[in-house]
Amino acid sequence: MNWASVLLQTIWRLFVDDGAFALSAAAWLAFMWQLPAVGLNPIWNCGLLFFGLGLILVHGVLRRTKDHHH
Amino acid sequence: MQVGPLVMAGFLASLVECVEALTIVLAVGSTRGWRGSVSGSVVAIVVLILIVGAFGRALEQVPIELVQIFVGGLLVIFGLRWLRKAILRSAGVIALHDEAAAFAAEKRRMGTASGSSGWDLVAFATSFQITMLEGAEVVFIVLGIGAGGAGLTVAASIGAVAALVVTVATGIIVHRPLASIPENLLKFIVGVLLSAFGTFWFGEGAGMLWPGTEWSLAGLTLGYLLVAVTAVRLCRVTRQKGLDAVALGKAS
Repeated sequence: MNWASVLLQTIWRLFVDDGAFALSAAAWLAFMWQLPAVGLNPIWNCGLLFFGLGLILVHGVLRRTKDHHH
Repeated sequence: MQVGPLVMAGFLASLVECVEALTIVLAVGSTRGWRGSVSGSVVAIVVLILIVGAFGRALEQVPIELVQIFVGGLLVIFGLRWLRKAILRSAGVIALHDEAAAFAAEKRRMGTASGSSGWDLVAFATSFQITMLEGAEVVFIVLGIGAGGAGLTVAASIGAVAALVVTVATGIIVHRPLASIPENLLKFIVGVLLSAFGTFWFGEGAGMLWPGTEWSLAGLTLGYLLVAVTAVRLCRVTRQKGLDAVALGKAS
């Protein structure tokens, strides 16, 4: 394994140790980035951004806890 | 125009950003080690100085929103990953020192001995990101205050450098008391702070209007703390149910 792939893997693991969890968060961010174009109240968007990320976090830890016993 | 008010404006505005970065750098240093944390911050400051030296006022053309979206987005994913592990540790789902074991395994796999030097890439990357983000804010503040001419930029820069010096001095004074806080509690707090900062900056970049602007950071921190504490409770209940089911299966 050459040094470049080791470096890339190391950087990747800094951000991702549960692929589905990281992908969900990234997808939610991408969705929220485009949301202001819809024209909702910008303050509502703030709440929605936080609510979605909080939900992804809780779902992620519960899924990991359930997997732990299976 | 008088120089004094410009220096003061540069100082106060930069101090807010520096203190925000210091909060994270100190917390990361206490939990993951000072070498990685401080070097991440120093490298970020050097990179920022080089960028400013190379591009100067041309940087005003770079939309700050793009920086906030990109670095804020990375910080959200990074912070949530950190907080997820802290929750799982607190709930007893994973071991308290799983990262040390994972790092040792990775070191064996890579066949290197670099870990013995105390170098920590996670600490480096975290401090680097937060310092780059807050530092970029300081650069834009200095450029904004000094928009009227080169002399004004120098005055604003003096204020920004003074803020940095005050922040570093504060960090040196308060870093020792932090060591008395339990490690996992600090890791938990770092996860909450990283997630809150990342969410705030991403929202700013995406054009969202945070109520109370930077005061929203306190609300986000409290919000993530509540979510995390609730998640720990839910995980403990789920874990206990799993353990009971396993015990029941063995008994029958």
